[in-house]
Amino acid sequence: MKTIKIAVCSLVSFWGACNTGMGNDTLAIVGGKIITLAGEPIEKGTIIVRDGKIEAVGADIKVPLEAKVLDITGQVVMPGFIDPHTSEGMGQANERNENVPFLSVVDGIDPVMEFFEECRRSGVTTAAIVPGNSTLIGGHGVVLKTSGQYVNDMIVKRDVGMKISLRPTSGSRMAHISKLRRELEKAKIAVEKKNQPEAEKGDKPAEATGEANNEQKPTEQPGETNAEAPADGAPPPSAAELSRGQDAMMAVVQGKLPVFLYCDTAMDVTTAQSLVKDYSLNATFVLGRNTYKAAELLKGTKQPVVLDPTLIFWETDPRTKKDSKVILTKVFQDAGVPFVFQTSESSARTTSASSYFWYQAAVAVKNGMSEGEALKTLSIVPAKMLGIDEFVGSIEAGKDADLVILTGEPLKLETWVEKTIVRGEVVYDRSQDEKLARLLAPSAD
Amino acid sequence: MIAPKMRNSLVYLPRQRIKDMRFTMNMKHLCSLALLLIASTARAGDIDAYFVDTLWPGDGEPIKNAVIIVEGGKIQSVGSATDVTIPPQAKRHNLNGRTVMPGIVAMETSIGIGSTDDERNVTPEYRAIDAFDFYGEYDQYLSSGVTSVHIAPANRRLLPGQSGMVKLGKGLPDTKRLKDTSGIKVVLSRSALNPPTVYEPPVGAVSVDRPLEPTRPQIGASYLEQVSGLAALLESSREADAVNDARLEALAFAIANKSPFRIVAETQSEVEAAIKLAKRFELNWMLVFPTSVVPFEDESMWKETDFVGVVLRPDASPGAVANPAIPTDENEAFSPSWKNAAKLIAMGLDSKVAIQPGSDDDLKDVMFLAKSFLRSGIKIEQVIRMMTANPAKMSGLEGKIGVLRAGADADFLVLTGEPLRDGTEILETYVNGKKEYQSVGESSGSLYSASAIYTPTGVVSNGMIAVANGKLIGVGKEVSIPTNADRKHFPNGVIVPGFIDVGSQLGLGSPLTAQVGLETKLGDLLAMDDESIQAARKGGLTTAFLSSTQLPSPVVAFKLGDKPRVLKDPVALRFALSGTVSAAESSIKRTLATAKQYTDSWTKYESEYADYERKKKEYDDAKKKYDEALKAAEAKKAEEAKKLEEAKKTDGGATQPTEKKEAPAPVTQLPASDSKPNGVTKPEDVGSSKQEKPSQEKPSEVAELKAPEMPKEPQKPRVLANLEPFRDLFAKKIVAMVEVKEDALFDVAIRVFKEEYGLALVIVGGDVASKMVETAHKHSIPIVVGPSLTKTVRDKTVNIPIELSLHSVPFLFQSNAAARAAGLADAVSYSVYKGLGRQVALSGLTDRASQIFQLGSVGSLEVGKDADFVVLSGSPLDLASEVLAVVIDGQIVYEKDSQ
Repeated sequence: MKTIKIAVCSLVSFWGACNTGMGNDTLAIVGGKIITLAGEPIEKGTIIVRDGKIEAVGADIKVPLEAKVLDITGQVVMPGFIDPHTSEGMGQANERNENVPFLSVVDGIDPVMEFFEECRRSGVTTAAIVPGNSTLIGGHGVVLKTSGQYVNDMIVKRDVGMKISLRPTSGSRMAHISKLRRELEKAKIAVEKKNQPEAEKGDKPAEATGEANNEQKPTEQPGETNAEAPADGAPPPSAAELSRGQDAMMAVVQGKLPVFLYCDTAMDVTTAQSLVKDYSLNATFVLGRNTYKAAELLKGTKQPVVLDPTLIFWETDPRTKKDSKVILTKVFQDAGVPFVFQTSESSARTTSASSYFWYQAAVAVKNGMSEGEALKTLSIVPAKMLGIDEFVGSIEAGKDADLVILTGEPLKLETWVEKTIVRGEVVYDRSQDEKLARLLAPSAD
Repeated sequence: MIAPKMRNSLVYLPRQRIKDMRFTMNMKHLCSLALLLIASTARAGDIDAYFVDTLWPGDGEPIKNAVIIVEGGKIQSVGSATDVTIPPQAKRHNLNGRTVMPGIVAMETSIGIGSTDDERNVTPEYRAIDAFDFYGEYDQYLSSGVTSVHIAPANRRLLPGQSGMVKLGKGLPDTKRLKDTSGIKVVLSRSALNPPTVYEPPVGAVSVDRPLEPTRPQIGASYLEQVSGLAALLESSREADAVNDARLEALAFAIANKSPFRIVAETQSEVEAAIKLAKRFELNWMLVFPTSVVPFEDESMWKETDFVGVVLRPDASPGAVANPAIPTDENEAFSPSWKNAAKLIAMGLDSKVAIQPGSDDDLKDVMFLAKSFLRSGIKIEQVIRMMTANPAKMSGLEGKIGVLRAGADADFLVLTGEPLRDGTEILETYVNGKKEYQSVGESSGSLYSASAIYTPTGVVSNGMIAVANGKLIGVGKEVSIPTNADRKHFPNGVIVPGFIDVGSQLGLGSPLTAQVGLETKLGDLLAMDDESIQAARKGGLTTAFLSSTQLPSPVVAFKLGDKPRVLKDPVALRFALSGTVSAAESSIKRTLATAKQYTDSWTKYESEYADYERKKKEYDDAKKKYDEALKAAEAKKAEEAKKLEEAKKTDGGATQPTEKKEAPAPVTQLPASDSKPNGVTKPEDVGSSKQEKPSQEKPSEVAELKAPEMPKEPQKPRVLANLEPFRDLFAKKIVAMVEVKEDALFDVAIRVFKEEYGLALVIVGGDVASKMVETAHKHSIPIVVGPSLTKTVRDKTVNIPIELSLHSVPFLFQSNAAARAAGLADAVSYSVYKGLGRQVALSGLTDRASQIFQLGSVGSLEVGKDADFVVLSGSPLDLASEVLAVVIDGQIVYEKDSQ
């Protein structure tokens, strides 16, 4: 916490001259419309933030004397947006080696990358950074706040999930899937091996052991996300196995460690579902845009699926040569599949509207989604998906004070992000955004 | 399931657990699949009954007039329509004239999985099903009748992986998954020798469990290496303490579970090696694409092995010169696949032979390629079986796919006719009871087939008629079939040309009783939706004549389509002779005389005009010549003047006069070639002659070329509209139809119309004509009979057409009615019943009328004529036959069933 303060202070210092008293621990945001995502919006409500947490929120809340008051009359405040799946903010999205379950994104994060600045500028306060899709087993993802100087201070949740991609990196699809199955099978055997001594204690005939174990579902206690801790009496995995990520894969096949399962095409969804079934994976489907044909299969998925950044595209029928428009949000909504958005990569960030979450939500609204649902998709839905809704995702007392202040109604074209607040600190202020000012200034040079 | 031997040798091994697990996994999978199918079956309510002409069950003789009952994607029952009880709630689908057979089960394809070769030669752990795109586009295969496919990894590796079985079509993946693994593929043939694109993978991105391990040597540089390597692999997979190796595990699992090894072996030696391997390792095995089955002749070799069957590759290629294997030193025992098939069948392996084209591309023509197996005398049933029931059985899916019987999946094809027959098309493909493909596309024509077709060259039995753009493009036993033809099959139908009624009251909605001018174009008055037309054509009429009842009247010939189409307007002028002979004669003579005069004036004018045209042309040519000559002369003049001037300037005046005097001599002698050799003074010669010529020629030219005289255009006679039609009449372009009610007038008609004016005459009045048959015959006057075809003379019924026919008098028919014109053919059938020749009677209703009235495009079924015809349930002009369909200009305007 201390380091954060220092970091924030240093960040804040260059505008501190005009905003005296920003270092204050208590902040009262008054006068604006509050979209809490935990109930009805509050017109002219007040949010009290203390020590980076939301202390109170409501219409008739007394502003404490010591609080610095931020009057946002006429503006709108929302929970900070949550990016459910991105592969940015690290040097490179994937390793050349395609089987690296032992790696973690944490080690590759560079907090000074423009990505984080851009996140704050567009109101994203939390991001799940996951290894890229060009891999087989790509390593651990992590959930970070988008503001901070050192990665350790930014972490919201480690080991948020293992990246597994079904898109062949080289060679044929069946080779790719075969390798994946093999790895999962190995992990499964390792888990059984670990459980073996227990099973043998129970006076079971030796020959039946194999089958018995197979029927038996994982017996470990849930809740422990780190499989490193040795179970009772079981021999711990060897150092070599650990270094290869055996532990992580064991956690994966026990459903303890979630999986970001990337499906490139519709056919991958079929494979993915059989893998989920065979290895009891706790999977979040990350979908390429052509997977929409398999939307029906995803009905009843526990977790929302992560849609491709390109929500609208045209497709040519190979036979009739007729073009048809595909609107992903509509397809998945009609199929009854809950979803969250991704934004397009930074390379397209300044030119493509799809790099903004509010734009993605607006597309969904235009194509039949209710505005309330769409707004939830920006924050509370991904928070629940990532298992961090205890801390973020809505404006409620006790949660982190991660807020985005908008100049007007969200999903309107003329609305700007006015301020972004992470853990109670203003980390972005449009009036201080020189880059934006320069970009918008008419013929500045 | 695990072989006892293995059970003993294994105390505890993770490998066995994997096997067990995999097995239970598979079982689970199958169970869930079964549950799913039961669930879908349980979703009852939708029962479909398909009635078809012929049903090929896939494993036996065809059934005639069959019905298939489909419920929940499965066949509930199948059989002859008389044997099967049809559930009352079933939705009936009438596939009249159609043939149904099971969907084709294709073996050894790589549809939907791509064919990328792996970087290793031995990868038996790979599963093709993992790479199968359930959402791919497979219409091209469904349209060729393929409903289930066996998908196998690429062909250029020794052990490329495990194959699977799937169905094609839309629908959820689970409904299309037949078998996740259906055997291990082994490629012993040359294509896997020195596996292409296998090279040392670069050190670097190797997998984490062997970061610095050197590349493992590949098996497969030579045939020997291949076979011994394979044997070694199979051997080590049997070892109890085999290392934890995915490849060996996959092989061991396959051997233990009796999963078939699908061995691709072409030459005799390869086949022998395959048999030996199968024997040694007790494999459940299948032989793929052998070009020799000689090793099978020794039954002791393979009888004990667990032999599943043989997949044969046809030696033909669709639409191209095939490139089959030819006997070489290495493959002396090569013989074509159809011979091999016959041999194997003779050995009693008739349920163990399947057909599969060599490439996925050729799969689209598998039906055509399968025909090649008929060469060796194999029955069609057997060939179909080799594409459906056999491959299904060999894949362990006996009774589920590849057959049409109760309990099987409703995967079937709807064909236009007998399978494997030339010209048969696949119209629809059903998978799991759902229509997955329907033949679409712009139809370029239609095809009618019937048991008899009346053509000018005789009756064609079991013939066809091809129609495109309203015209007949083929008539006969075998015709070229238009692409995507709409097919109509009338199993007992008889097709005759559409009937022509040469005197009706059709076309205007009501009879025309007003006097109309002869110049009237009745064709312009025809009504669009005349109900009587619709009624009339149900009797087989396709062309009718219309005239006023007030004679004389023009006559129009038109087609009875939904939109009446004028065929010829006028086609005739219709006159009536009545009253006393002298009055009638003088009256008609006067009319004709006036008309003749008028016509003659025009004939004269026309000939004069033709003359004028000729002269005008001559004049134009002459004028052109004259103008040109005049121009040339002027040009020469100008040139001369110029030359003169030049000459004066250069030579001075002295020499020129003398030259001029000598000039005539060279000019007369001058062919230029003569003067050339000794042409020292050539320039001067030429120069002088040129100067001289104009002076000589010019006067003559001018004298000869007089401006030609312009010819005079003849004067046009005045146009008299009511006499205009007579010009065509006198030119014999149209016919004079003369109604005669009395015997004496019959002679008048002939005398005046025929003898005096030489017109094309048709006499309307069968009643009279039957008494004047001799005269009619003498002058060969066609007689129009009707509406009554009989008359009573002294209590004796005379059948007029018979009477005329017996005296070789040509006759035609008229109804003189509107809607009742439909009964014309039935009326004629009475004469046929009474003894009139059917052919001659039919001719009167069709081609004879067309000839006499010069209708050209109708009246007979010949290529190039209009597609106007009638389909009858039996012989034409038989009261026992009914009209099944009437086609006008290629359009079905009446069809019995659709009414």
